[in-house]
Amino acid sequence: MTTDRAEYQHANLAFFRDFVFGSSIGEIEFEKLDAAATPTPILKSKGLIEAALWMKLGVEVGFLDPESVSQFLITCERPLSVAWNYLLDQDALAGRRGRPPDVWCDFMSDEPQARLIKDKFFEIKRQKIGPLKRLSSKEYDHLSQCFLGCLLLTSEVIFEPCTMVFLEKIGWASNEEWNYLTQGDPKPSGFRIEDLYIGLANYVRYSKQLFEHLSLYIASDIGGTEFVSLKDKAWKIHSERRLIIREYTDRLLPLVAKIVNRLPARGLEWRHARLAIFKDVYQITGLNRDELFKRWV
Amino acid sequence: MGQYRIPVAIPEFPKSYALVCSDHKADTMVIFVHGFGGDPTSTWLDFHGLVKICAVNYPWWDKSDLFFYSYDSLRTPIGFNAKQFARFVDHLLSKDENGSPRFPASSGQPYTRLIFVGHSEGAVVIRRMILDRLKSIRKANSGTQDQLLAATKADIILNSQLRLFAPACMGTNFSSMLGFATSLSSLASAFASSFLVRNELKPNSPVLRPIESGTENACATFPGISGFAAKVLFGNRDQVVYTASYKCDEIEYEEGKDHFSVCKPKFKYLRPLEFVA
Repeated sequence: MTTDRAEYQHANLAFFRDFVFGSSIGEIEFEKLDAAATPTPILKSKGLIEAALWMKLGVEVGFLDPESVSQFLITCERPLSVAWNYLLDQDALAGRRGRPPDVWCDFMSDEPQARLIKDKFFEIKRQKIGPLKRLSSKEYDHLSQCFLGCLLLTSEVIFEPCTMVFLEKIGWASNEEWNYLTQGDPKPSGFRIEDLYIGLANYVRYSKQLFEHLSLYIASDIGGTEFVSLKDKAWKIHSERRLIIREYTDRLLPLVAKIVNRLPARGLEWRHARLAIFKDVYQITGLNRDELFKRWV
Repeated sequence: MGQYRIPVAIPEFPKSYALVCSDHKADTMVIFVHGFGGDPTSTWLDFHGLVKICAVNYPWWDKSDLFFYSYDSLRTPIGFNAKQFARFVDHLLSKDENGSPRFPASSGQPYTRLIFVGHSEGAVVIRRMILDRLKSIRKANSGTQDQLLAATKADIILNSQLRLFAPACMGTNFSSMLGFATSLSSLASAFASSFLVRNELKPNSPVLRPIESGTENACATFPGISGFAAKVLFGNRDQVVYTASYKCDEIEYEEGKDHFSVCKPKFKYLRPLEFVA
């Protein structure tokens, strides 16, 4: 490995630590994770696990140096355990999707007090011939740029307060609290409907742009199987952000309808606008088009 | 292929970041300012990757450090945002505790060229900041005209170059919000914005009018100073802002692009990379 690339990887980890993780590690370690102490404990915990998953993927594509990451993980182990155990206690992983938690994240043990399994985290490193050894310098650079784009996009939402509020409330708020929020009443959540709108905007934009960014590289002349593999793994990390059917049908669609019905004009422009919004909703929900159309108000 | 760019957090300005040349020898600083409802990465996707991948076609990008500024575009007044942005630029241009330029790190040589790239409301923030800068220089050099002229010629910010994508300088079309309804995210952001910010961005508002007149006067008074006139690019499908600009500006149009896509380069749409040059 060249000196340039080694320096690049070290700088990337410093950025990852400061910009993606930020203060989340310290907050989760020392903060009591419940709704009374922090407004979005589930999303904060998920964010930490998600950040670790992106870090794992960063090692796999050569964006981060495994030795440095291994050192950094020492500071993350306890917060990751706290976060994971909290998510299991809240049934915030498997129960919602009907799948075991390790489908999303496989480097946490299944003990009563889960801990990080380093061997699992660095599994790719153990392979005698990893995918990176086949990449030319140019292909490696392109892969790094693609990964950096994913990271920068993710950093805009992962611990962004309004996005966390949107996902936490749509997934876990009681019907009463959700109704208060969408009717513009800040009681009892303490959040305004504008926060929800911003969170929704961020969520939709992130989902679309992550997909478009990855597809851009795959569709270009430089795209190869490594980009397809990166896209599949990135999409798997993203999967835990996706809402479940009940959240789409019972909460998201009525919220979108509320927003669309605020458009005052009628006529052709209004119809085009509704179609554009419908396409967005269809793209992010992945619901059957006919089913979605039936529920579209 | 261009050289590596190292991502650097700017902790004094959360969510803002830099992509700096790994050889620390950049002579140009390019500062990107997103617009209404935007963010540093989602607005400017995919500048950061394409400047490196396409460096062979646009070699001057290899001598440029990129800075992406983040601010609250939906609920904070433009005047305040301009002041905060000025702090950000001053911070980037300042020296650290050892007396060395903060950026580019290690080279010891400050930037010789500064380019501001703004989208939509970001263009308004940049222009307000520049006028505020002129005002403070005028105040500090209230002696002779020669003294004032020398001070304006020496200031890197006033001698910057402005590249504005779909600027909101002549006003934004909030009348029915339909212009924002090209996507759910832009519509939701528009409804989340404060009435104050929307009113500030309306045509001939008490915020936009002084920026227009102040800029045009400054351009006439200081013809050799580049930071007042801008190169402007609108998409011909823009439904959000009025596609007009100041008398001193040079306006171009891109066919097939709307308010949100005009500033996002792709492999098959590299014009944004050329436009900033």
